[in-house]
Amino acid sequence: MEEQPLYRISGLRFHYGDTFELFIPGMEIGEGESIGLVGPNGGGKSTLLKLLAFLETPREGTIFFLGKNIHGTDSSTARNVTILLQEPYLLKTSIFENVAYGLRVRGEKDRIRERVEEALGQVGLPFSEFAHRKWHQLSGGEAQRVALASRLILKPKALLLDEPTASIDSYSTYRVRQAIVDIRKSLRMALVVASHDLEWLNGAVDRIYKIHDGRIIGSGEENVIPGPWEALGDGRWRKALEEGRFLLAAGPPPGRETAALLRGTDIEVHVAEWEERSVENILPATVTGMFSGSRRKNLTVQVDLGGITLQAMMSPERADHLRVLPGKRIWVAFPAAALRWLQLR
Amino acid sequence: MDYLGSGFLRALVLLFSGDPETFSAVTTTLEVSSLSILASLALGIPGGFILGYFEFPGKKQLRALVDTLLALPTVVVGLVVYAFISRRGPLGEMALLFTVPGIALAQTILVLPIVVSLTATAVEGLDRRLRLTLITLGANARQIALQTLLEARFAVLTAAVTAYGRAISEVGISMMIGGNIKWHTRTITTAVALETGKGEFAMGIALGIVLLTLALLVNAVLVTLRRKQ
Repeated sequence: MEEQPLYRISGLRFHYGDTFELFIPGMEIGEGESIGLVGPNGGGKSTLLKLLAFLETPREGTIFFLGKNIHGTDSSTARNVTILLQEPYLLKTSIFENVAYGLRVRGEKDRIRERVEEALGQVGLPFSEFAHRKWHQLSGGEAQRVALASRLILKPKALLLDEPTASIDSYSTYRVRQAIVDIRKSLRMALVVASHDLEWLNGAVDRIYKIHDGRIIGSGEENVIPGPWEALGDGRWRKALEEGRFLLAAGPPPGRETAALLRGTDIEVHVAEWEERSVENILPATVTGMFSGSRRKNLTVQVDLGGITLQAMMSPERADHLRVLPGKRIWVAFPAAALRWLQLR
Repeated sequence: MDYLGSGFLRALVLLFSGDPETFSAVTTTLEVSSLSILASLALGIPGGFILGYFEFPGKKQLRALVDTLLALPTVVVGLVVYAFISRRGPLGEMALLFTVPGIALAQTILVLPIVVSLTATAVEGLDRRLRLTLITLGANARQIALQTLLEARFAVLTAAVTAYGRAISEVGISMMIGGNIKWHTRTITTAVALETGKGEFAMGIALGIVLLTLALLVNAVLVTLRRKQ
């Protein structure tokens, strides 16, 4: 018998007033699967997470959780899911009671102390040093780790994280990442993470979805280039970059402000100006980051074109051959026809 | 001005010699204010929580009414309660007039809006993330409500202390409902008013010192609680 997915979403619509709408026609998340959500702020990542956590109710469509259509915060089902919000809130009590709270509301009484000690240990907070502290005696990073420990102790079927490392120090970031990696080794738990941290996501999740203006517009390998676009009169359209440079697309766009998509695999990287004039876009850039995904063969090279950031994909061998390193000035090339207009509706 | 200086010295003698009349007024005050504060907390905390936590039709109007009652004049409360508990009043058979429970009843009415309003404000002012956090940790509706009240506990205590400060310092109700009966319903404030009228400053000053000390203690507790919030 085929395994039932943890989540099955169909025809999901949610909106805040008239200005923003999230629409997910269909999506499945399997048990133990990990998903990354990337995209600009206000694009719908947090809203999707809140819907998956049953904190918000869809206006239309359904979210099946283990085959059950969930309405509102059906507490028995919702208890299989937990979300860590971007800015954690700690209860005005001790750290011990904060971490134990989820167990207490479930009526669990066995081995509370050991379980709290284990959960705090998972996020790198020694029990003897932190358990007795009050909520206000922690740094921002420690508070985030306590909030994570209070979720990990519940051993949920789905752990949802909204920008878990956005506003914390580098050591706490490392401990948060490590705690998630460690617990997923011992527990079959689905993970959905909204983050701008592509380097981490590439190594931590099975799939990445890019969310823009309330729509999933592809995998994380696609770059979104926002408008405005200006007609050149020869069927091509251009977007102004810094220092008088332009980026060319084959038009016409559905609207001046329409965003264009560009696959990372369509971007070629060169270390010297390229002579191939059939490619319309040949632009100088600076490498701002490089990372490899544990499940991907290619390297992601993040480059700054002066006003926009793109992610190009290249093999590790080619990166080694060209000696591409962060901070290096390079050239990127891609044809105007490689840019596809984003169709949201 | 010598009479003030000698009055102050005699006041210290009254206090340190344990003058029974002075201490009768102090114990009556503590008895009355404790009864009224317990009753107002028992009614006001649940009432304030409901007003701050739930959404219901007429909530804004009820909130406006409670806030208006914060400025309730003591003599108006005294008048209304007097009318109710005097022999001709609907509660006349309870024989509460000129008794400690009678003063406590009227003081409860006086300070109840303080407890309700400050508790409601405390609950309304809690961080938006609290509810989301409790839901995501698996709390049900009852557990969310209970934890919400616990999170507001410092502000609720502040409400209680503020109400206590109002109760111990009022004079109108104690005078009208208690009748200022020596050894029986005479409180610090009514005694001070009486002794001042008689030109007997020593006991007035002695009781004033006690009242100021109580007010200072109340304020110290308030400052500590505000620091904890």
